[in-house]
Amino acid sequence: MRRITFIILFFITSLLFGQNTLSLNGHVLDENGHGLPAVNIWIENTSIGTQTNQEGFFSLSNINKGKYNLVISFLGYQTQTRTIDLNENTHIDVQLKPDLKSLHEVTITDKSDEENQKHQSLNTEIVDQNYLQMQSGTSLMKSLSRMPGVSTIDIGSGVSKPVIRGLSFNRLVVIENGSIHEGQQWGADHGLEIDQFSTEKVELIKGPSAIMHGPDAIAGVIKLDQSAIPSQHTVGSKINLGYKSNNQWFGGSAMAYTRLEHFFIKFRITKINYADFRVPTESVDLYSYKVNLNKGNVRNTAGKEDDIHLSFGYLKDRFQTKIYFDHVHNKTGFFANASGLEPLNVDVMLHDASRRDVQMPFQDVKHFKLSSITNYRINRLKFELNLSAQQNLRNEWILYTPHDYMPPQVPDDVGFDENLDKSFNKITYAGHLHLDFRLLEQLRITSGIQSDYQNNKIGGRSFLTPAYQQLRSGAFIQANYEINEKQNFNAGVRYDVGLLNTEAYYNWYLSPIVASNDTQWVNKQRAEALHKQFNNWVASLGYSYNTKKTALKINIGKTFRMPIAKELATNGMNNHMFRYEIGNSNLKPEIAYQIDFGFETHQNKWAAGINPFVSYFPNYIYLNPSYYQDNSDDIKFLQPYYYTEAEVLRAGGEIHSHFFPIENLKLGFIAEYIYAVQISGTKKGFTLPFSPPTNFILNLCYQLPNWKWIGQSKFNIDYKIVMTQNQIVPPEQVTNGYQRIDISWFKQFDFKKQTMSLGIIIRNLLNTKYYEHTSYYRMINLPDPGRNINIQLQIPFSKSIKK
Amino acid sequence: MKVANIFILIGFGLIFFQCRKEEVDDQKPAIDSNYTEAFPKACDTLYIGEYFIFKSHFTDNEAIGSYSLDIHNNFDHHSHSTEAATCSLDPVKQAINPLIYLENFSFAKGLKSYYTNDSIYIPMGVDAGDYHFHIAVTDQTGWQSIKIFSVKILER
Repeated sequence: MRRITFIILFFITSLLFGQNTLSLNGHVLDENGHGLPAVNIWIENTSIGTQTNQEGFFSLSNINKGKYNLVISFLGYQTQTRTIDLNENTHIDVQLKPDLKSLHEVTITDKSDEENQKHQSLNTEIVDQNYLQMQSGTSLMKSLSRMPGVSTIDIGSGVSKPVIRGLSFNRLVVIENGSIHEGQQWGADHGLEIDQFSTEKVELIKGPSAIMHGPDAIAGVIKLDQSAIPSQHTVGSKINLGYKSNNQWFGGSAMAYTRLEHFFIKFRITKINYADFRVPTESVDLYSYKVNLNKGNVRNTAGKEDDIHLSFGYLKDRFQTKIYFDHVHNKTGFFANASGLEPLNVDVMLHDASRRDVQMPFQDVKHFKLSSITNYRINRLKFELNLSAQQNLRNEWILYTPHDYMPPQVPDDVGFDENLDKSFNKITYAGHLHLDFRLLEQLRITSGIQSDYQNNKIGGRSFLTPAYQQLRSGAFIQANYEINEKQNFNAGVRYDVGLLNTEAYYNWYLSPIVASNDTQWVNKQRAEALHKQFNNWVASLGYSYNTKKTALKINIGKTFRMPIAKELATNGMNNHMFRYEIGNSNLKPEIAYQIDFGFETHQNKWAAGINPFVSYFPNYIYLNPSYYQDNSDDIKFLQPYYYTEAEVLRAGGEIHSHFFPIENLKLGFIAEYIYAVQISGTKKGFTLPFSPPTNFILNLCYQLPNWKWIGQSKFNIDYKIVMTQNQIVPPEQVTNGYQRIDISWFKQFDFKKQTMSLGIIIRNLLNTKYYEHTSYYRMINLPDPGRNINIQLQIPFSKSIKK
Repeated sequence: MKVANIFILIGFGLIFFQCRKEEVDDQKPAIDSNYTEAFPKACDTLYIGEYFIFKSHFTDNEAIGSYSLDIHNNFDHHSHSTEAATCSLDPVKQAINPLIYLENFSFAKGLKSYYTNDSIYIPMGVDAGDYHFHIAVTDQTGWQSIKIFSVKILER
């Protein structure tokens, strides 16, 4: 239970004197004497700090002689403060004690950015790599979805879209290593495209966070970091291996690193391969068709992933720069019987011959990203500059099936492969400059500018989202005022300007136009070119009240989001929903007002928290299922869905608590609730699509005592209760509730001075057949995966190198 | 923590305030192609160069919005429906000039029950063989029902 701790602030003064610079080295150990990685170390009342490396070692250099308070903190452990009289180069050993107050169903904060956290008036949660390993979901987002307020929208086992409190797509921001991760997040079949092995820390901010992170952060922000930095003069490696029984998932990731005095380099390769996933049913009911599944295998949902990461950096007291290169490549099959959610084109013999092959329909996604973070500190001023360039290349391959007036055979001169249904090539350049200035002892001013340019090109035989170019820029200023030891107040404003050009689109095939007894065959225009400018402002006010045992937070925010190219100018068939989507070029920026509350209390044997929110959207942009208004509508056959604006009210929140009835045994409880209603428009009284159902998790975690050669280990049971989702909107169906049990067992053991860890996780222990309301495959009555036995192994290796 | 209690009460109060359930249309329209006069039914035959009358019955609890028809070839036996399997299919073949029929129909608003009576022509020169007959009906709320079955299109 090492993930969580609550901020305890120490106010002890220190004396600074002396001229010679010295170094302070140390080793941080856990309760079992194992080195603890990623522990935050800093000297109180200074800007000097570091993190421990993979083995728990740290090193601080160029420190003046003197008496200091060294603070050592780590999620889930009691923070220690050591007073050190530094007269010569010093080495210290620190053993941290587990924090009984900590719990892994709720994580509050980390010490690394202690100042920020203290002033946070939004609810923030942080989890580390151990948490991710323990959850062991089929994708990074699936692993995170246990966190209160987080869920996913899925297509199959490999593609999961992040959802915060029921909002997804372009209403949240994903940041990796300081830069916004840009993909085809508007698309139903777009996952995160982030390597689950490379992520070392995840920070979740629930609530409007647009001031700092840009206007899309209406629902919140998911910050992912490859943050562990090796300590000085070390070399090492780490190997992760995993297996998941349900879809015969094999994954491995190998990382190697070294650090000299100031320079470090890390390299990682990941390979994942999985077969079709298996559901506890023999057939699915696809509209009026019954589709038999071979042994419950969901035909053609296999996939593979190959990732490469390289990062290096230069770290010296006041100056730090880190550069990351990431390449994620995955190929995922879609359920063959249901591309377009229409039963078609299935060669059962071909698909059922092997569980591991990926045939059409499938998508192939390559995401390249080059990003950097540079920090510089002088006295009361801190700079941070983030620069990134990324390319997201997605090809959707579906065996050519003519629809609309497409010819039986594609002519050779069209310039694309006939089986390439859609292709997107999106390039994003982004920059972000932050200045942090402590104006007075209690007043901190943060300001910054942010800008990004996107160029999205399209190809393939089908049209859905137009090609576009977009330039957005914004500037913000935020003030944090510490009223007294317990109370903080913050206020911020931001202004953004966006320019968007969408390109016209003409069909590559001819369609008839009948006019007064004369039929002409033309390349019909599907989208007009648009030139749009959107400006708007963001504001927030927050207050927090913290004592050692309780915290109260309140935040009021106004945010907005610029309409995206797809919402303005789409005009085509969505292959995953079997519907025809039509954009609306008159959409205005979507505005949101939200109030967030947070209350937490931490006692010796128990803790509890509640985080309610209420939000109001005067013009929520919504894809509204409709019908043909007259016979002259161009679109033939498919149900038309129009992008429209509706007034929307949303409310909900999360509750979490835990209790230690006896030592080593923890009982936990999490609840999530979301309510949304459209209060104007044709769907007045209906909810919003993909509303997550109310759900509860009852958790039991037991630290098993020493037992024979196994020693200490940890056992965990999650009992998840999901209520029936009756709040639906066309074309959704009511989804019955279900109950699921997940169990896991974790063990760390020493082998030749290295600490290896082993985890065995069984998800859906009872092989329960259930439907997930927020899965795209819910529409075709495809249940979620059955029992899944996961094995995770982590093998580190490291040693010091001579100077 | 009196302050905290107040905020929690406000939070919950707001949530429950939202929870007043409004009455909404939760019924899909229905397609009936099984009554005696309905045409075509599964495995029926349509003839090239002739008109046929599409007869089906749609109902909805509030109001039907529109309906659509799609007739497309099944020369590659591309679906495995229980209904299609009961019709005998010709051998797999390549499409040369298949019939592509896509049409949507809307009508006076507010109808709860509607019998179709549309005259549809199968033009000369299209490929004979196995086709799918695909009916979709949408009500004014946006609920859609779909029915797909196999038909044959042949030369008389």
